Amino acid sequence: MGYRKPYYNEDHKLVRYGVKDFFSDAVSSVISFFSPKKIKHAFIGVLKGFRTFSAFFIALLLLQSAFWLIWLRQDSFSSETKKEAYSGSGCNLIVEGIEQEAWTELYNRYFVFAEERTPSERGYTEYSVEHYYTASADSLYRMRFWLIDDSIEYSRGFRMRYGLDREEFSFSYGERTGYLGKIEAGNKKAGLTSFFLGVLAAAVVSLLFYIMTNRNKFMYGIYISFGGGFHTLMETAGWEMFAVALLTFAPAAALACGIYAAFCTASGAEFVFNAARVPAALLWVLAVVLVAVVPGVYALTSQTPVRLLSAGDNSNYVSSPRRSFRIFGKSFPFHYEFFGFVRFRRYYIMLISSAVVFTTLFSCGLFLADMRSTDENADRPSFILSTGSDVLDPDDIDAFDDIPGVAYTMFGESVYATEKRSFLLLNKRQAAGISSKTVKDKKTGLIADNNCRYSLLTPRLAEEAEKGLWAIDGNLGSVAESVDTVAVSCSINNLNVMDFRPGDTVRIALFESAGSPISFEKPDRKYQLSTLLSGAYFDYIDVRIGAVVDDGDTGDTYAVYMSPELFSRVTGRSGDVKEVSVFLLPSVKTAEVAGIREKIVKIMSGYDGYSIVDTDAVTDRRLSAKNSAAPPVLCVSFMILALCPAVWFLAQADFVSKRDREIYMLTAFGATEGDLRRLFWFSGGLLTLSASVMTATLGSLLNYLVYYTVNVFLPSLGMGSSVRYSYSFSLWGFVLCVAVTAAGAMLSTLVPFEKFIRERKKLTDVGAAVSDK
Amino acid sequence: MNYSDSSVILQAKDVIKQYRQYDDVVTAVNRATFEVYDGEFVAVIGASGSGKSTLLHICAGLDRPNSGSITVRGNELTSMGADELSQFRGNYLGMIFQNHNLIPQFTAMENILVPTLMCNKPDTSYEEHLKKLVSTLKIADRLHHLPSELSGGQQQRVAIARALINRPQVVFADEPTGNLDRANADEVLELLLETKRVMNQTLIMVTHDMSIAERADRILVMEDGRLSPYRKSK
Repeated sequence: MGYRKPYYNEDHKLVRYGVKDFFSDAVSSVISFFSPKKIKHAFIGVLKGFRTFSAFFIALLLLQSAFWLIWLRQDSFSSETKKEAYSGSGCNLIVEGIEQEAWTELYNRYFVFAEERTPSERGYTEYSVEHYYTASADSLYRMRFWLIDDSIEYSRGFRMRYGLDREEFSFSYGERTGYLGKIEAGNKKAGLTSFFLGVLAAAVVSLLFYIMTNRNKFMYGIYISFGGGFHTLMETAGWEMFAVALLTFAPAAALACGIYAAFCTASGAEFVFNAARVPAALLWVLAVVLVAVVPGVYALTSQTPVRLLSAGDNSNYVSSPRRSFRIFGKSFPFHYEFFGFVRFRRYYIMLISSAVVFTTLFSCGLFLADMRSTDENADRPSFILSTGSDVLDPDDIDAFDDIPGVAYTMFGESVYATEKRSFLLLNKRQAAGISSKTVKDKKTGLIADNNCRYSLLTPRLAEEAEKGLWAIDGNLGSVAESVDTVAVSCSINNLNVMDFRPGDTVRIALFESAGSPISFEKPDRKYQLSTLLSGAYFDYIDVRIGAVVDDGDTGDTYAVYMSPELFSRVTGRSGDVKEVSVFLLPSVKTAEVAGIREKIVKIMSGYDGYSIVDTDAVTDRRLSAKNSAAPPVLCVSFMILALCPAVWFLAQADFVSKRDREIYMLTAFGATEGDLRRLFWFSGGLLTLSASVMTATLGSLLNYLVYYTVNVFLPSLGMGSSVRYSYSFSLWGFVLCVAVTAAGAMLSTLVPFEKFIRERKKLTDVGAAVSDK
Repeated sequence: MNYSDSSVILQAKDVIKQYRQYDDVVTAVNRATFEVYDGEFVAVIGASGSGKSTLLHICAGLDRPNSGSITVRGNELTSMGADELSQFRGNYLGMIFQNHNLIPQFTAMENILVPTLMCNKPDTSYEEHLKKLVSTLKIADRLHHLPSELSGGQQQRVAIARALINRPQVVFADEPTGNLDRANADEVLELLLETKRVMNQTLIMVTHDMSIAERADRILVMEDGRLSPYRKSK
């Protein structure tokens, strides 16, 4: 069954498709598309024309390798995550709060009989029961289960099956179930990255396809003149692209495997090749090719054959008869070529834009890899402990510090200025970075700002912070014991916006009363501040800045640290510690975390309503050390940078080849090889200069834009990393971008020209040899 | 031969084609209206730049007019979509270009077979026809040569074979003998007329060679984009 075209009836009238023919048309199109003859021709075509398709081979090889790198990292990460979860005594399910009577009933009803069955029949490999007491001395049981299936769904079903889903019991998932969440999140992230890589890949292949079709416009013009349409050209051009994709498929997988295996060897992670990724990778690349080729072929077949047949010359010579006649005046070749640069400005803009995009993506990759690395190496608390309403006993805080494996504890309390209808009065310099968020206080002439929070600084916290956790300019210890000195941080959402210096004074405005009831219609801080300034009375406390700190926090407010006495006066709170963050030593293994947690639980169980949040920081840190995302991101960035010269060489080879006639014409008019060489050096130099300048300026701007989006804008919306990362400009990355662009621009102009000169010489030599004979 | 009793195979109605050249608008074809009958040989003559080739390209569906319509066998080319028009060209129309327009990377044989490939014709449908064509056009021994290895006359024969391989009903020839010497020009014309007769085709030829035009059933004269209502019986 062949592809069904509109057909002509006996009266030579064209019969077009109706709706009922749609499906048969679609089926026959698909069958026609997969015709073995066409597939064979496409493979032979791209192999024979390897040089023509070389840019496609390079691009698809690199892009598919990048795809594989993403998933090899994810599969290795999944395997390591599972290993970490299984490395200790972590279980799948923990059920707590079981009273003696309930436990006896459960045991007699389910577990006595279950013991006699095989693990697959009963649904678990083992379980343990622990007896424990609550702070109020209630005697309870805790059950831990090691299930035959790690999924959350299975745990849920298991609880119902064994009568463990009662309201009075509390349950939580153990490490062996929890790791699946990490894997799922990783899969989602890898999927999203693959999607964006796919978009980039489609854009690159589409650009290359555009260059190639532009180069072969005449040939396509002939095809279309003699009956070639969208379907026909898709069957030929489409299959050629698919052939390139399929021929590079295995080498790309092998290249990525080699690279990632090297990473694994260096980090000690397990290298995992998941065969299920093969069809996914295949579908990905076929989708990329399809998305890239369809619009190109459509655009091509929408043009009239006459237009395609007549577009085949890039000669600068034809740009202006006036300039052409003066070509051997003093303006040749510089003015002559400069006018050509202006004449083909659209082409050059496109070419330079491609370099800007590739180099920007590369430097963004460097930036993201660096940020990822900072993120992975940042010190995070492993446990966040809260007493509920009780005040933490200082001896208990010491006890946390004494647990083997605990590095230090951090504690404190914060209150947003807006919560207390309070604000700071700053001078212009101090508030210059947030001028759009502040309001001028007409009474004092100072700048009112409520983008801050008041934080408790105890002498103990100051001591911990001074161990090197914070960067401190000034004397933090004196702040913790003073009633008129504060310490401040300068950062809001990863930007150093405040200009505080030790020795500065600031005024804290404390809400006293309002002339009339104040209602805040909008949650906007600035609106609230304006409302307060216009209708409320305040008490003021003048304080001196004793220290400026970098506390590693990146929230939407900066911190004003104060002693317990001042904190109490400003916020009305006691300044007692109710929340503690526990940081563990880097040497602690996942398997040891459960033991530390047990010791913490023992201490915390003395407080009613306590809570312990396990952040999995140790597991995350160990996994990051083995499967850091930074090296693959870096690798993918280099692959993207390598696409730049590939695109340039294809485009320039095409462009220079279309100047053949012009060169012959110039030669006929007396231009020497030296003249022509000067012309192309000038052309290459002009392109190099323009591309380098554009790459350096636009690339830097775009890079900063990405930084701002990723590290400032997204965190301000609550999305993205909360680890502080200031904008850093990679000098070597910048130099590499400019160097690659410059080399690409110069060489892609000169290499095709030199090739042309060589081939012309060959012809001349043959001619001379024939004449001699 | 009088074709007025035959059915109309091509009808051009008020065809206008304009180009923008800097700030000026150049009218290449100005309200061209004419009919061509089935089996007829029509020659279009005129000075260089008079719009002959543009008119031929529009009639062959290779270019689109600004206004007016072209109807071939009752099918209006100007209202067809690009894909549909391509298929129509491939099945019903044949085009011989003035400068051959052979694909330089392809051999003569591959160039000839381009239309069969584009129209997905099975090998069996054209094998016999191909043999006859290359034999008639005397290029059987040059089929595996690249265009650069062929003389101008041979290249034009390959271009003719390419135009005829799908057995088109209407053949458009844009100065097919323009680049040839007299002997070659006469030979190519004889071949075209012979295949026209054998395959019962309609031939529309642009030429500025009066000796060729005089052999046509009818001559149309193009002057500054206007087609004169001129008919010359033989």
